[in-house]
Amino acid sequence: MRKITTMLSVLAFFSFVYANDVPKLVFAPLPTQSTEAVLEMFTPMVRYLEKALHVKIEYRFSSSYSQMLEGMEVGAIDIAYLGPLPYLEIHAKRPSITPIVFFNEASKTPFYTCTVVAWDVSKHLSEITPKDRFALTDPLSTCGYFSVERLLNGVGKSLIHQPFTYVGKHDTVALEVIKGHFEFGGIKSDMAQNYSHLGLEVVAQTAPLPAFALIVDRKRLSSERIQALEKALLEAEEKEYALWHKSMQYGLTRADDSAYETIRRMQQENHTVTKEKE
Amino acid sequence: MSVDKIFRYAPSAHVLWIVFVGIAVSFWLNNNRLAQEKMELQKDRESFDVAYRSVISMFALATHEVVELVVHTPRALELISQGVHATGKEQDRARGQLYRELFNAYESLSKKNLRQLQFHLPSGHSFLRFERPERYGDYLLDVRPSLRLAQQRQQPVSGFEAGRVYSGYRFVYPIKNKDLFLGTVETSVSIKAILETLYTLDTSREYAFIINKEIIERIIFPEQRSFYTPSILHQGFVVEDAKGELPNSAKPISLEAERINALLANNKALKEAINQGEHFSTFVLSEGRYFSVGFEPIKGVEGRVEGYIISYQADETPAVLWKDFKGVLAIILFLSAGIIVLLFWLNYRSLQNQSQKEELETIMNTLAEGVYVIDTKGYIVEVNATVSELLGYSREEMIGKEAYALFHAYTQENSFTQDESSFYHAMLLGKPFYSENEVFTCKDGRMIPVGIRSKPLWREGREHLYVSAFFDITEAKKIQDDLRHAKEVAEAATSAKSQFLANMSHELRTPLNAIIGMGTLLSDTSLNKEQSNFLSKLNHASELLNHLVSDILDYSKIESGEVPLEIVEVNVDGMLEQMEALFSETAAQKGITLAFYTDTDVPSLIAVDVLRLTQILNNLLSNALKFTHKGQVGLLIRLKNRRDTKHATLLFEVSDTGIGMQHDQIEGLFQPFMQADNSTTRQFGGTGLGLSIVRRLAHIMGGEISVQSVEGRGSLFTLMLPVGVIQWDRVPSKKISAEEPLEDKSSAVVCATTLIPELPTVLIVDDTPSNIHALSTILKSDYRIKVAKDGISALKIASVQGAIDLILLDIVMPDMDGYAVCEVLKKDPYMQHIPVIFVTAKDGPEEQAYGFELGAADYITKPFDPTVVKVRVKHQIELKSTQEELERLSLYDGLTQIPNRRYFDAFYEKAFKESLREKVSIAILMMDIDYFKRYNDHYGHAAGDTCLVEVASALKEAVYRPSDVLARYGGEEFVVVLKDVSIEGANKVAQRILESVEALHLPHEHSSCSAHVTLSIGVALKAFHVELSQKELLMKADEALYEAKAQGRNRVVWHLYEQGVLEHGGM
Repeated sequence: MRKITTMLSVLAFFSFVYANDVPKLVFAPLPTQSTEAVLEMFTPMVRYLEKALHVKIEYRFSSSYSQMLEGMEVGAIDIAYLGPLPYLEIHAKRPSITPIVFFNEASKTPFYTCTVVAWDVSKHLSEITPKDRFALTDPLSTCGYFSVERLLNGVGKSLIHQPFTYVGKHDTVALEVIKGHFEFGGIKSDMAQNYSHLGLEVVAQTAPLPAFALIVDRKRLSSERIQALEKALLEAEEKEYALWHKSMQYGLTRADDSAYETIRRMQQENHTVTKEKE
Repeated sequence: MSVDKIFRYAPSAHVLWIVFVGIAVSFWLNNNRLAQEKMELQKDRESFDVAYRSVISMFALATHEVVELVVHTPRALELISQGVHATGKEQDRARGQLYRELFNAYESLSKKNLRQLQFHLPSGHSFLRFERPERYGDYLLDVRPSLRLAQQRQQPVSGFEAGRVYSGYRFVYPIKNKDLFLGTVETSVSIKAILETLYTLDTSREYAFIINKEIIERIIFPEQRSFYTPSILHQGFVVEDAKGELPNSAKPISLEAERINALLANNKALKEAINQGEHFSTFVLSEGRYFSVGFEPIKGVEGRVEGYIISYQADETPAVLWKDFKGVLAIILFLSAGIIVLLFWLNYRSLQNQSQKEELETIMNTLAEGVYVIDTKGYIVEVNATVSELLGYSREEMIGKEAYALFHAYTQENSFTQDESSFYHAMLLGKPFYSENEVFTCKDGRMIPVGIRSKPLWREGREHLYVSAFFDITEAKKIQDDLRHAKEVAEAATSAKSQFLANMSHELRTPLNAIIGMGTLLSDTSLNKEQSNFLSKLNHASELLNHLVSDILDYSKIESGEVPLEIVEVNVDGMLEQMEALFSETAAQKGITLAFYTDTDVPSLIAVDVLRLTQILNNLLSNALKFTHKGQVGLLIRLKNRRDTKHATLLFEVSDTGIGMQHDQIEGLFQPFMQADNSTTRQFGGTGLGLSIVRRLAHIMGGEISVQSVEGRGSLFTLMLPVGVIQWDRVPSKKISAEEPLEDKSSAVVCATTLIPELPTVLIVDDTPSNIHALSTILKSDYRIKVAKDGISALKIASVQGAIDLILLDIVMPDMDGYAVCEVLKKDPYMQHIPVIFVTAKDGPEEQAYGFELGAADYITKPFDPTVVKVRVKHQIELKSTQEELERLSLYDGLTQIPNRRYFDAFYEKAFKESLREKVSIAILMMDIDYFKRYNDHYGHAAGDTCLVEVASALKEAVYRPSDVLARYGGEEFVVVLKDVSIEGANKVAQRILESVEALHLPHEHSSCSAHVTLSIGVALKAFHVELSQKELLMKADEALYEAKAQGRNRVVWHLYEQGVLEHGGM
């Protein structure tokens, strides 16, 4: 009996040591999609990375970009999937956070576009009246205020004069517009495509923007770990990422901060226009 | 017990049989236990099945409601119709519009846990999903049998089904618009919802779900694969979102369930059941707890098993059943062991009985007596060898034969039949039989007398066998006959002797009577002085000879046992009168007072041999008169005890104030031919047989006789005799009543205690036997001696009231020395009056001083001079006696010599208590001399004193009974206490007192009521049951006296307290 107890104790000890030996990475997925969609979207990739890096990847869900960025700012997140605007926001606050790879779009390039969508389109964007309501995803979403304002500015309009609401996720924006709760909404182009069969139509579309990227916090991760991460992603075989979510099946491209200069300039322009309107 | 013995006693076949039965029962019990477990699992399954059906029905109902109220509305049908028939953007718009219209209904469904609402085109493509609406247009008929069937049959179809978005229970309804088939609509309920609803129905269970891997892999979208993990329970099944990452997935199973799954991972029966698509349930022991685990196959609409719902529930049934099984098994094992032990024991007992039987047979065959056993019909079942030896039959010749026919001859002459045989009757009645007058017939025809003892043997309350033991008494008969003959010879000789004695008595008495008679006749003739003198001597010699002959003949009769008792009814008082008459003349001639008295509680009629009793008493009285020259001879009859209403023991005390005897003379007094001493014979004559005869007669009558005597002072003979009682109540005329005088009042108080003063008792306290012996020898002639060998014993003896008159106390004794004893004695109020004389070798002045200081009366040093001891003891006894006399004198009035007030107080208290105890009445007569002050004043105090003495004397004359007390109460007042008296009796006494005083004729010229001295008397009498205290009764008497005086004096006023009512009167 005493021998059995001793053996069990030893086994328990080694199990504990082993369990603590496996490194853990905290991953923040998009806050702008439903949890189910997020999991469906990222889990195949996450499983791949866990296997490739011998790490345990833990999701850290956020209900908004601001919540997500707060976590990143305080150094609670190792890796994240971010669009350009939130990236710039967090990078400005925590420069150790930088992109390592872009997820290519259907065009197999590391760029995507944002759109303004509507259901049962009866007027052009330039024809909007102050009564037309806009559904937006998140203040920090690239396809949110930033892109919609830029598109409205292009036709001489501005969200300043329109009622708009941040409803959260891209799906939600699309469905809210379909349900008729809003006349317009701002979402990613591929997301607009997802709901076109429900009569959702693209009213306006931005120029290509840097694609969503996987960013890392270099303060939290060793360079070896980052290199291994980059390597695993960039060297992933096509048959591997073909199993991933359809939005992530088009390959990956190495990323760096310089790719965001265009966005930074657009931000400055937006800022200037807004000031002028005010 | 050795192993050999164990095997010897082992009833092997039985044991094997019991072991076999025990094992079989154990197997049966175990199977029963397993069956019960299965039943329990079956019940679990049924319970689950009911719950599952209920849940599905509930969801089906909700779906039906939605379909009927929402989908089958004109607007919805229009939009569906548009969607079905339009294409491109128009179709998209119709789809979007439908979504927009039905979204609220979908949300309502969601709240009811119905997750999906999906429309399908008649082509089998998904038209619109409300859950995950971004997905559409996929072809479903190949992966969704439910849809296929619903579309084919255009009928509602429901059942479990794996799905692309998720798996769950589907409810598919066809959509028709005026018989135009527009496609189908379905709702789904997720496995999560089903499991959660099941959980709400039975929270003691946990549920999990596994789904067919083949099906799921075929239908899911590629990116969903990562949410399915292989099931540990079966490789053909997967777990959907095992980590519970998807919001609508069932939550992960508990660690407990995981452990149970791990335990079932290699369960072949489970795998086989799943392979066969069958239900499976089992109990699993996980970390000390039992769980019932059920696998319920969930079949798709095509009847294929698509998944299993697994239920886990803590269930201690196996533990309980196992415990019960163990308990019952233990009982069976215990009973089996008990039966085996019992069999061992029975076998052992059987062998023991066999052995005992053999031993018994050996013993029986060794007996000198023939022993045979017959059954209740008289047939012999057992005989011992002696029977064969005595009767000549072999054992085989006797067993099974009828004993009567074979050897019972009943009598030597065989003069009566079997039916007349007392043996036969005793046997029939089941009674023991003893006889020494039986005759058995031997095989050779000889008849032998036998002594036989037979007893029945009983079994279960019925006579079973009759066992007899007999022995040949031929020799004994011969000896008996010889003895009988010898006895007859002896009896003849005795008879001859008795006849001789009778003859001799006659022969002796006849001439003796002639001599006495002739002598008497001769004395009547004229004789000269010398002849008269010779004749007187002749007569005296004749009388002596007559007594001598009578005594010798009586003694002879007693010796030969020829004194038959003749019990007759005797009147005690009559007997006394006769004896008094017999001895009165002799007593009168000698000037001796003869006092006969019978206590009131002595029965009046007794049953006794009056001849022998009077013989004893006459002898004692005759002796008393013979040895008494002055004083009194008395006979007192007292009741010693009342054994019952028919029997009592009486004491007959004959006392005298004669010459008495010394202690050593008393010892041989009752021996035949003995007198106190030879000189007595010479002086008083007699044979010396009298007292011997008296004692023997007393013994014959069941009594005893004893004597106490003090030389020079008298003797007391006490006959204690049991008698029959015929009548207890005394004849009233023989009672000495308070109101009637005795002829000789003084004789009434004659009794042994007053006649023979008790010898003073000396207690010798010494631990040395030689000292005790020496002191006893010195003192025993004058004192009663008591001995104590230590201080404690001495104190115990002395503590008895009045037991000890003086103590001779040694000083050096173990445990408690003489000083300590003396100290205790002198501090005890009840013992301090006993004088103590130290007798010790310690003769120092300090010791003596210390002894006197402690209260000793005297001091004798060892070795002591006997004379000194006698003198010192006598001195102290006399001193004590003097002190007691002084004490006594203090109780009497010096003038009138009657008891004083102090005596009265003590006596009255005692008498009052006695009256309560004896339940008799008590009366107080309070008297006062009328106008005594005037008498004193006119005649002077000397005359007054004389008057008081005269009145006291008169009062003494008037109060007869010794038990009554007269006292001077103070001044001219007197008081009398009468016990056991009626009011008439008390008044008679009072009247007699008045008359006695009147008879004094003491002149009293200054009296207002008479010319003579007179009394006034107040009488108060209370019955024993009346609650009146001693003091109150006295006060009542005083009140009555006051009334008598108030009524004119010289009279009696009485108060009677009886039955709680006061009656009063005056005379």
